[in-house]
Amino acid sequence: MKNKMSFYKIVLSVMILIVSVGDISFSQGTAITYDVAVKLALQNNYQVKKVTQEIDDLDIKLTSSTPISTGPIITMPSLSSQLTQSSLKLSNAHQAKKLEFEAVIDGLELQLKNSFYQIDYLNKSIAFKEKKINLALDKLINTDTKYRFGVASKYEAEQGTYDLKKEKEELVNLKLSLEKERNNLRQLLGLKNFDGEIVPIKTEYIPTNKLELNPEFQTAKAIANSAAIFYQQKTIEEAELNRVLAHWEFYSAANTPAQFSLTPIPVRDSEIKLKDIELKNQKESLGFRVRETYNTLKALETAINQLENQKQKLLKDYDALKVTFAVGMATGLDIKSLEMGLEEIDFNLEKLKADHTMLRMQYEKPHLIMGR
Amino acid sequence: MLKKFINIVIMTLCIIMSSSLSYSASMLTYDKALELALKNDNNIKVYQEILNYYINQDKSQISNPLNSAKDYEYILGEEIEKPLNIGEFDYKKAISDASYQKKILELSIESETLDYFKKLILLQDDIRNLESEGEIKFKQLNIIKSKYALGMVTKNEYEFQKNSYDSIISNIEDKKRSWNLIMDEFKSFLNIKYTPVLSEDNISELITIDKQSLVVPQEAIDFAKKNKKSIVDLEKDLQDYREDLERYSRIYPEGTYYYEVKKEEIEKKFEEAEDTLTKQLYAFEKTYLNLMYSIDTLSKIDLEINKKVHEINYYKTLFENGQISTIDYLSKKQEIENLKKDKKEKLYEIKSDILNYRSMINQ
Repeated sequence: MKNKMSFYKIVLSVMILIVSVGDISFSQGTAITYDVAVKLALQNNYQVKKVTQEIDDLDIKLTSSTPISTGPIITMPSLSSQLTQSSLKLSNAHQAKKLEFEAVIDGLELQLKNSFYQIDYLNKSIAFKEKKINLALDKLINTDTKYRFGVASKYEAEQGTYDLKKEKEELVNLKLSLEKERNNLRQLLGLKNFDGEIVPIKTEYIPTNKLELNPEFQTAKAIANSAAIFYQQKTIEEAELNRVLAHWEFYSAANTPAQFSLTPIPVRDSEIKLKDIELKNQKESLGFRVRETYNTLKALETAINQLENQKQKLLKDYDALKVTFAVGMATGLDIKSLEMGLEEIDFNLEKLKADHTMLRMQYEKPHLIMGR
Repeated sequence: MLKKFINIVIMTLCIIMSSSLSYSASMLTYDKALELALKNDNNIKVYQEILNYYINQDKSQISNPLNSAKDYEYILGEEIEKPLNIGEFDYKKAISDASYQKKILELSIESETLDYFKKLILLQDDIRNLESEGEIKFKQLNIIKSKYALGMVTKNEYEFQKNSYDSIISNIEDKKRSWNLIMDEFKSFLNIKYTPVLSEDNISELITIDKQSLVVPQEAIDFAKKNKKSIVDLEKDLQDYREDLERYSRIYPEGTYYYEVKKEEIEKKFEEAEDTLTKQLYAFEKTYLNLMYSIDTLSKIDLEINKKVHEINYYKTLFENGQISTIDYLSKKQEIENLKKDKKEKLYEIKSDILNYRSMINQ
């Protein structure tokens, strides 16, 4: 009853969302915010629609099926036992689907955020790559002039051409990746013709030591909310019931040849044992994956600290270089190269922080972490 | 007094023996790990239970004349053994299926054991290398610190050196955290409570990978025809088609319309089967060639190591003559350790590819 209530609450909240976004409209080419994207996705995403439809179908089937008997199973007639089995199966599938629905919604928000970060990162990478191409071109002109005056070797001049070509190839690849990511966003939004831009979202970098969520607690949370684990538990319960029914049918019905086609009872026992082992492995594996996520978060923090240190050093180098440039001991190209280096560190930091944010969101909602 | 002395001697001996025993018990080579994994895996135990049950049932079915009597059908006066009655439990097939499942499981356990072992050993090496690097960096940091105190270097340079040392320490911590996690997974996989000390004693067995011992693709296909379930099933299907056509010919003799239609249908199936076998051969060839290439790469790494050893000897002389510093010499020595790690990584990769090749042939 309580489960049913919570399900209705979810359905209701989705409906409210749908009503509230009823007037969402966006013109082609305009930028959308993350919040609008979430609302659009809840309205149009194929996966959400599919799971909602499946829950509706199961609802109809459940209301039309026989209620679950609470009487002793061993005395049930064969037809009634079959009906009980199917009602139980339906009820389990219904509850598992509800958990799946919650995971789909949470997962969708996570994927949308990731897509926003990726698109923003790729846009910045493309702009940066274009700047790098200009710098490579400047360097090439510089080396070429030197080569013509016999100050640089032919190899150096050729190396410059090669570097420029490489940068241009990387730019093409980045543009392809951006198109791929935009397709992914279209799929998540459930809008085939979406061609607008996105409003970048700010990364919320919170180091793990400020989270106060230990891996053990998060593992317990993950196990409690995992649809796969719930389904496996119910499968074991079903298998146990089927075993009792098979036992009952085998001894009560006439030993016709058809009875021999049933899986023998000892084999059924072993199959239940296999399912138990799988459940134990699933739980354990989920725990390991939660710890792995925590470790990756820590490793990302190390990488972020390293980059920040590198940035500090480069900033000091930059100050020194500016002084050197002012007295005419450094070239404009040197300044430009260092500025590019700083910019590169900045957006690499941004990327690492975005990755950290994504992973942290998974860690905070650990049922989204998939067990192996 | 003497009794007391004997007691002390016995107790000391017991302590020594027990400590050596616990030491040998906690030392874990790859072979020992595989043995433990296969012995302790709960799934294998259950599959063995199922298999034993089917074998016993099959035996009792054979011993029961009512069940073991064969049935025959007669087509155009010829006596042909009939397949099993509908609803009768085919224990022979069940045994074959359960054995196949068990074999697949064993193969996957083998590759998983290797995977864990490889990850842990390589991480251990990484940690060791990082620790050596950290020692060098620490010495460098002390030098820079003194220079900074004397005003010989800038604050920026000192801070950079300090940060690079700190980042090595953080990297070591990250690696140790990963090692602990993988070790816990490995312990759970092996079904053991204690933390073993990984031994690379049998690593030389992994090194002796020669091209001759590998099954060439054509031989692999011949072996697969007898052992790989999908290929065995395919061959069995083809045999069934041949028999079908033979039975069909008794009702619709050769040359009749129905016979030709059936023949054409069966010939198409044969072509499809031939196609599957050719694709399989290509897949074997691809894996085989990749393996050959990896083995060659291993020889190249060996050559690189030899070259580095000569280089190190040269630097050693320079160091002994006081021409280079301790730090420079240690840094050069570190390069050889990195190459050795590359070699080990390649070695495990080859071993893992060989296991995959074996799995491809068998399952």
